Amino acid sequence: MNSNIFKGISTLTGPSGSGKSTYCRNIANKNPKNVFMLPQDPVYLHTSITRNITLDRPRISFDYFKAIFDILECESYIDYLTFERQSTTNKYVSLSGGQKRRIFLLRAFYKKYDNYILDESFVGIPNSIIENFLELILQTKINMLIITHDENIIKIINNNYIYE
Amino acid sequence: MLILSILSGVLAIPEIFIFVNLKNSANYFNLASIFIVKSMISILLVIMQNFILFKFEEKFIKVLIIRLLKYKVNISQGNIIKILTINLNSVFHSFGSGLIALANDIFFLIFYFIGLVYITTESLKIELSIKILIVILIIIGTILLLIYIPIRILRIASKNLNFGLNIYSNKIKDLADFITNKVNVIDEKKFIRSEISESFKYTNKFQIIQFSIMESFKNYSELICGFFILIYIYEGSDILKVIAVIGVIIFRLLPISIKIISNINRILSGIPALRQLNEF
Repeated sequence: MNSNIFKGISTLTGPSGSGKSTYCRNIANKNPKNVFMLPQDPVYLHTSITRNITLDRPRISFDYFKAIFDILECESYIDYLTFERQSTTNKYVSLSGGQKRRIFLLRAFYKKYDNYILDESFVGIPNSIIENFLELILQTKINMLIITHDENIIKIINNNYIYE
Repeated sequence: MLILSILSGVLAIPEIFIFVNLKNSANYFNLASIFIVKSMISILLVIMQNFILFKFEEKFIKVLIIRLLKYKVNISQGNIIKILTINLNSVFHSFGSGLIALANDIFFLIFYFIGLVYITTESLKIELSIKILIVILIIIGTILLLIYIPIRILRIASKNLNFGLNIYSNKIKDLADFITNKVNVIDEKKFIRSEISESFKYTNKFQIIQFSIMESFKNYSELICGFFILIYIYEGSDILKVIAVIGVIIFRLLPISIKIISNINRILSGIPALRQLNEF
């Protein structure tokens, strides 16, 4: 599992409390420069939506960011142009759980990493959006491990692992 | 204790005596001696008052423990600790100490006013006219402005400080959540670190302004008071002397008035503990 875990998209499932998140956290913490992990409950920072995504990183470094932005259907609460203008406003906006999940995904893909670990990152996002998102990721050359209990996601992905 | 407070108030009289005699430079040696003796007596009185208060606290604790052991068999462990630590501290160090300081300040004001009545009735003879009244009003306006400016800055600084502290506590919450996740995402870590640093820098700026004004207000008042003393010493007209006296009164008594308010606050904060202690 260790050698194949970051080859394309894989899923990791298993009983709750079995240690999936801890296992993946250890991998991410050992290689913080190469692995970006979205934990189950990422921090929605007390700042603007845009800065929650950009984290003041200089500019978009992932070619597919615009495509991901479109797929996640966030235009009703974020103006894409703010990323190009490098907006620095700090106005905190309260969002719903599903909206926050999309913000966290955009945060992850604002900068290109070789490997991603997404821990239950699709909760509250409609299946159609998840399917489009995964299809797009399959076209890129990045590796992604998705920790999930969602049968629909497991069905879409070929490499599925069970953690016991 | 009351006699000590009255004695401490009486020391306002030598202060006014020094002020009135500042015009005569031949007396400076005597005036300086009076000032030194007056200051030494003030220090001794404060030490004596505190000594009496804290010796009384010692006796009080002994009696309280005897009472607790004798009559309060069913009292909880938490209550015993609370009575003998937090409550006692509030009663003696807030209520008691604040009450003594308040009594000292009030007696100081009373004797200062008695002294000032003497100055205005005995040493200065002026005839009031519209012109003089206008001059006095202008001077009072200037004095009020001198008081208003630092207070206004303080208010703005305090408002911004509260705003900044809210932002800062939110950033700390972000940090706590990030730590709870135990995932080392470098970009997030860098962002949170810089946000905390920025918000602290913002907050600290106003904290410095607030602290500087609050801590230096007494010296600021003394500084302005010093200028009015210079005007008083200057061989000018009686109007000028009246203006100088008004300036000296306001800026000498302003810090004491502020102290009185803070002492009233201390006393009020100690009252609930005193009531609780009284129940035992």
